Amino acid sequence: MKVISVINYKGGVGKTTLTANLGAELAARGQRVLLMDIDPQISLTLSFYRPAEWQHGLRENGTILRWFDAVAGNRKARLGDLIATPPRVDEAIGQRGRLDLIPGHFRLLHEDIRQRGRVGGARGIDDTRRRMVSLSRQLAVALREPAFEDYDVVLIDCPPNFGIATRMALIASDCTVTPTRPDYLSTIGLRYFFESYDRVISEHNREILSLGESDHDPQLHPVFLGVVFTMVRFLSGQPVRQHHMVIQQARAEELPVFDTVLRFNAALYDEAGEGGIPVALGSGGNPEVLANIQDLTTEFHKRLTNDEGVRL
Amino acid sequence: MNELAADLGRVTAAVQKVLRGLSDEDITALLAGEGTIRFVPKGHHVTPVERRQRAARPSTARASVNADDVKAHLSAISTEDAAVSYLTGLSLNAAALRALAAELGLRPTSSQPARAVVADLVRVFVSGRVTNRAVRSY
Repeated sequence: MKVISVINYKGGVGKTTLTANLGAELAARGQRVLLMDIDPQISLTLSFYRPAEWQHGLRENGTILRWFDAVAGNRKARLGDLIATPPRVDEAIGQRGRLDLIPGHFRLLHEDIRQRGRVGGARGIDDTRRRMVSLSRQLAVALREPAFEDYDVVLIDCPPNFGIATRMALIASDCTVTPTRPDYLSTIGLRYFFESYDRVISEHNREILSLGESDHDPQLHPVFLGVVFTMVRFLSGQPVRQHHMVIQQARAEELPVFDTVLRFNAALYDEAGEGGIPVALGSGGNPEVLANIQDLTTEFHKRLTNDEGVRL
Repeated sequence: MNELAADLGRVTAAVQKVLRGLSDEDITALLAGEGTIRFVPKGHHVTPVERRQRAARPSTARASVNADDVKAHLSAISTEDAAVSYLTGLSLNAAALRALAAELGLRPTSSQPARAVVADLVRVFVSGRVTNRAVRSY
């Protein structure tokens, strides 16, 4: 099983669209895929469930908030109990593969303050560090439950920040991928993002070492698979000059950049999720859009299999 | 007034005819600022800017440089002004600059003037680093 965080601390960059469509296309190719929504905007969840379905079937006890509640209260809770199978996607995939989801909750917005309260009650610096390490690796520990053994890929849709939920996801992940729009403001912080990610992992490794827990939990060396440019406008079969320039600038920065970009398409970005089925699985979809998602999934899978990218 | 209104109606119809003749790509280019709609009087025709410039003043500048050398040099430069000076100092004509930019993965337009090509090269190979340094030194 490979765990991949989909993250950018800038919002509106196509993170959820990328997560949903990569997951759906991998499942359609026969993979067993689990999606996890830890972004309090719960866009990923609402890409698969209608708001009323979430309200009546998931909101009270069926979201990842229940697990976070247990972590905050120092109680035991099985993350695997929260796995749901979105019915319309399940029907669209049929017997080919599997696509499950751990749904999100709007109240995750307050999770940072609540979880940090746990660390705040520590006695002394060592205790604080120990609690922080323990908290940060909760998700990694939870993903060792037998319920997750059968999955090939777990994709975590992270919130656009470096809060505690994101930290848990990064520490639980073998890899990360970062979607971004090809515009000046969206790409301005790519390098800073990468350094922040590196810092989270380095700090965690240092704490584990200094607390003498490296035997129990090995050092982490995740792979940054790369930047995926999204919402790229095309003209005559190529990205428009303005977008091409931004992509080339990112390549000149020597960050890994996916060769395949996600092309702008109103059907993909404006109406995604309304039908509860990602574009990748939609019947009668635009063949160009489908081919684009397939190409991106092929490159993603190749990078994932070969650990292509930058290892931290 | 009625005559003017009738003329406006005919003009609008003529413009609509032109617009209907545009492909999706033409419209995308128009919206992206990569194309314009012009009025060309009967008997006249459009000449690309590059051809006009070539006819007006033949260049004596250098024809080419090694693209890898230029890239390495630009990658070592830490300010945009220094990069502009370096590129200008190469004394390349517009065509050679466009060829250089294309070799370095940019997509210069066929009529892009030298100054704009230099600006693009600086933006891709220097501005990103300058920006990142700025946002990292908070």
